[in-house]
Amino acid sequence: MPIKKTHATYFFLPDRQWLYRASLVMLVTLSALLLIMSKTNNPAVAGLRTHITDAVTPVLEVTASPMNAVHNAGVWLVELVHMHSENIALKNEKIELLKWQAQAKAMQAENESLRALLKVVPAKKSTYITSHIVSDLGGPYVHSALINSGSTQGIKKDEAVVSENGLMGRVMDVGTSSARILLLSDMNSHIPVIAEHAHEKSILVGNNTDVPTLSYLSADSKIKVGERIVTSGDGGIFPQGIPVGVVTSVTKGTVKVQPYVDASVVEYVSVIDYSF
Amino acid sequence: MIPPSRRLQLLFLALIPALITLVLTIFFLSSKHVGGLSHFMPLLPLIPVFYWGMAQARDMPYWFVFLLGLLMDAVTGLPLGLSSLLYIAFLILLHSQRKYIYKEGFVMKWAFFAALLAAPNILSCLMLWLFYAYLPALTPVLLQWLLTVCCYPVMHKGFDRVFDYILSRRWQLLHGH
Repeated sequence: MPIKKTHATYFFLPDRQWLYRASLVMLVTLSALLLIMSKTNNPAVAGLRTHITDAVTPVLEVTASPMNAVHNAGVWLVELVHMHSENIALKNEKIELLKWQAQAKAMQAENESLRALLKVVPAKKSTYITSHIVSDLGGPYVHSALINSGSTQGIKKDEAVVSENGLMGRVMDVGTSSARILLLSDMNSHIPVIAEHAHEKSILVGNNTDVPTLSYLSADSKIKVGERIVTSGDGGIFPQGIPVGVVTSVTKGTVKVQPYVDASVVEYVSVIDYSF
Repeated sequence: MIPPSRRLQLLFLALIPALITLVLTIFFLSSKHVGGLSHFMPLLPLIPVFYWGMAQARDMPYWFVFLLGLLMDAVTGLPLGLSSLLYIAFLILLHSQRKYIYKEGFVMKWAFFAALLAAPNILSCLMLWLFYAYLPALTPVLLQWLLTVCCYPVMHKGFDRVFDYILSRRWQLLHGH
């Protein structure tokens, strides 16, 4: 296609039309090739992706800092406004929690003595790596985020990622100094879970909306609205019992789960190193 | 013969559209804490690609939008090559209609942008359907399209000023002022 020359001096494109067209064909071919290689999970493409994310993560960290400052200032202002009422609520909660603490200590002592009596093999302790989210959460097609820790910090593929409220997702790609988290809501996310009271195992499947659904439930499932969903630990990748979300609707065999974690407001996450 | 210092300034002027696009892309990709808006943030990088692809086609080359697409895919987690392919297609479509739209007024350009922006969205849905055998939810896609179209006028006006500056400065440099 002809491009009109103006009076200005240009630097970007070769002057010869044939070279210009050849470069266009080459770029389209290269894009298509990359796309096909992505589909086949080619390690070279995965390597290229992690190299790019490693390079761009420090830049995103810098650009995210003013946004974080504005966000934190807003949070601080809101907290300041609600400080008095929150203080009263926290005092009441403290009284309640002290009662629970006493009960928990008694149960812990009982639990330990029973475990010793039964000679139970202690579960492996998990280690946590705390990281900062530096990217946005993807567009309408992919729900993922970049964190500023990678293999150098000890992060491995498929590890669970949690915030203070519960499970947020899992590690999908790991670079040297960056890693990508696949959020629970992404359509490629499949997490083995269990309903806490109904004791029914299933898979939490993302669908690119805020409410993922439960799959592989039995036909006579007893899961009800309000049921708490936690990780089942099946597969040995995730620890058992991480809070995932709460069932918000059960209609015609479709069980929707509202995750406890609202990924859009999370700033820091912990990656859990847990293996059988 | 243009002296080297002027050549350097001309090079910088030619780089301005690409730099603006890169800055907007980095802003688009970085964490913004905008709550639920995250999943349908306006597709800011395509606005300068459209504007400069229309106003000064040679300052928005195909290889640059290819690299921009790679960056977008790598950070957002889309299949690598998808955005590159879509952005190149966007630019090819734009260039094919450029001679008809170039002299039109702002409203026509805006309408054309809105129509043209639908192309990468539809193609994205189709490609992801081929990729994952799953059609993405349409509401966020439509919201993103709408928000991007709404952002266009403000950015267009801003780019107009930058473009005027680039043209006048180029003229001064080339004519020895």
